[in-house]
Amino acid sequence: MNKKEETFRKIVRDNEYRITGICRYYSLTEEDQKDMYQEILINIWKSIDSFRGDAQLSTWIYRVAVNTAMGFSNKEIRRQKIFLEQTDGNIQNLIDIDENCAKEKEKLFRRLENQINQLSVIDKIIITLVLESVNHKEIASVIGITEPNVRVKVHRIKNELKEALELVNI
Amino acid sequence: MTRNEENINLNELIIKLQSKDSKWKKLFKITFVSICIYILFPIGIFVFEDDLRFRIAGILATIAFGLFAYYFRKYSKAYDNINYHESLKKVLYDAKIRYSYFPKPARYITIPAIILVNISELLMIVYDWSNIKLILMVQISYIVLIGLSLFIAWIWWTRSYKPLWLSIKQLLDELDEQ
Repeated sequence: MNKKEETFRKIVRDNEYRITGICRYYSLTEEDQKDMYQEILINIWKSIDSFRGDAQLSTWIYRVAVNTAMGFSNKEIRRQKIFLEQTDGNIQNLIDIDENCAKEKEKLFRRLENQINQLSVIDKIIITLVLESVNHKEIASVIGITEPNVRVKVHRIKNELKEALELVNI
Repeated sequence: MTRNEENINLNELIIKLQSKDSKWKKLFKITFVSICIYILFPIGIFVFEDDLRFRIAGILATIAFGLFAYYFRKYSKAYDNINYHESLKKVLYDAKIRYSYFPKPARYITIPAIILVNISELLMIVYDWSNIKLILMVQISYIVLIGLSLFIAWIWWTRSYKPLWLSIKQLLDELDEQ
């Protein structure tokens, strides 16, 4: 086993949950998730030589995952749809949901999913990272904008989603 | 995805990726060597011709093809190797340059090369420098040829890459706004 292969295996093993976490938001079926997972692994392999350790490994992984989700190899940037899972505890990162009303919760989930999919490409990416509990500093590093800018964007997106959900409820 | 299933996939994937790596390296080597062989022609003119005009033409053509080779070596890789590990903004910025029509880095290398080929061509074709008509004919045909190539490239770019380039531009604007 050469060094590249060894590093690759270690990175994949240690960050499996991060990669699958991102894949989950961008693919509905298990088959699609697997395809995307594989695509991310291919891009990790291609980029592995350039990992110098100046960024955190988790940031590096998220960068590769997010850039893969954008789908630059195609002639168009993918208009990715985001899928939420009801079992996702991280949804609390976005809005407050009353755990007691199971029926309402399901409806709210679908509405939220619908609203998220109406966001712009960049906002969708930011939201998936927020859902993954990635902190603002790391999101800034993944996206390439300043931390205050991330904070402003997250705040705006949350407000937009909240307003939209309230409007639907009326 | 179970851990076992994934391990098997990982093994297969590594083998595929390693063979892809070596295939790309091979292809790159072959193309680069082909360009280098082609450069031997103007070098030949420079070395074996007695006439000073031809020798100068040979050296100019050698420099021009050398520039083309350099451009190929530097940028052809960039089309296949997107730096996925960079921040999204950097990737978008690079993609904006890569997918633009006649990108700036290409201009800095290919325009001097085109001019050098033109001068070299003139030196080889025109014997009598007072023959303005011939000089003009060579120049006009060369400009038409280059113009036509640029026009075809523009049509191809408009159809294939302009939509992508515009959406990348839009995403970059979106990233910059608060």
